[in-house]
Amino acid sequence: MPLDKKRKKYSYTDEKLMSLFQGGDENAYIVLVNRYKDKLINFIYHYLKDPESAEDVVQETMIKLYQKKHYYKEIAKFSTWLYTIAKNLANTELRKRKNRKTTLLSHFSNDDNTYEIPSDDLEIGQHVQTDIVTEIIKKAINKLSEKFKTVIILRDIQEIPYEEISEIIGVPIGTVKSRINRARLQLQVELKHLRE
Amino acid sequence: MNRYEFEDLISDYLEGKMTFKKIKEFESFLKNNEEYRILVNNVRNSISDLNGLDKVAVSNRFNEKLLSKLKNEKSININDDKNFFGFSPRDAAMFSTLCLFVIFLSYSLIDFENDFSPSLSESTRPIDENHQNFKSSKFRKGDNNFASDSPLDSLKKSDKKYKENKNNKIKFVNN
Repeated sequence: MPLDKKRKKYSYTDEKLMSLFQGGDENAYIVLVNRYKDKLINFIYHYLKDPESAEDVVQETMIKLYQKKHYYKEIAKFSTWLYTIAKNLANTELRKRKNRKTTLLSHFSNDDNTYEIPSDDLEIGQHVQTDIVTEIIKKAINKLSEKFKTVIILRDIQEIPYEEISEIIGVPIGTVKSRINRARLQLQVELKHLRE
Repeated sequence: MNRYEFEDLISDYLEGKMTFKKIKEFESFLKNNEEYRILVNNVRNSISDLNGLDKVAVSNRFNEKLLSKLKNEKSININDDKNFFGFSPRDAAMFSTLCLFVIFLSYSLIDFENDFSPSLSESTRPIDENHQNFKSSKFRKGDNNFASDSPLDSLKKSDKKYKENKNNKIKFVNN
C-alpha cells in the first residue's frame, strides 16, 4: 500500500474507522486501539486505583469493541460508546471487589486473633510531600459523586476539551461546564485542610 | 455580582474564556472580597495539582496481549460455530441416537405385528371351516328355505320363468 494512502487512512475519524472495521478492515481496529488505550487507562485508573486492573479493564473494553462491533450505530459518537463500555466494565470490577471485600471481612470477623495495625505516621514518614498531596487529592476525587468525578477526571486530569467531554458523556456542553465548575468547588471543600 | 454568579464564572475566568469586560468586572469583585480571592486561588492550585497527577500508560505488551486474547476468543468462536444443522455436536449425537431408537422401535413393532398376523388368519380358518361344515351338515339337508343353500341353477331357472311370465303379461296387454 502506498504511504500516502496509509497516512490518509490514519487521519480518519473514529466513526469512519469504525465503519471500516465493521466492513472487515482489522487495521482500522488497531488504529482505534492505539488511539484510545492511553485515554481509557487514565480514565479507568481513577476508578480502580490500580494500574494493572485498569489495564485489564482496558483490554476487556477492546475485546468487547472487537466482539460487539456490529452493535455500534453511527448515530452515537464512537468515543461515547467506547467510554460507556469501559465505565460499565470498571463498575463491574468495583462490584466484584466489593463482594470480595465483604467475604474477606466476614472471614476476619470469625477469627479471634488480634492484629497490630501499623502506625500511619511511619507510612507518612516514608513518603515525600508531593506523594502525600497526590494521595489527598485522589481521595478527594473519590469522594465526589459519580458525575462530578467523571468530568473532573476527563477535564482536569486528562485535559480533554469540553466539546469532547460532552460527546463522551453524552450531555450538552453547558451541562459539562456547569458540572466541572461544581465539581471544582466541591473539591475545594475536601481539600480545604490541605490549603490551610 | 452575587455568590452564585461568581461561582459560575470561576472556571471561565481561570481558563481564559471570558471577555475583557467580564474579566475587569470579575477582578474588581475579587478585589473587594478576600474570601472569594482565596477561593479562586485554591481552585487554580487544585487544577494545577490535578494536571500534575501522574499519567498512567498501558504496558508495552498491551497490543501483544490483546491480540493473543483475541486469537483465543476467535478460536472459541470457531469451535462454537461447528454445528450440524444448527445442533451442537453433543446435541446432534443425542438427537441422532434418539432418531435411531425411534426407528428401531417402530421397526420392531411392525415386525411384531407381522409375527402375529398369520396366527390371526389361522384363528379365523376354523370359523370358515365350521361354516362349510355347517352348510354341508346333515341338519341342513332338505332345508330349501335358505336361498343361499339352493343351487345357483335353480335361481337362474326361476329368474327365467319370471321373465317369461312378464313377457306373457305384456303380450296379454297388447293382445
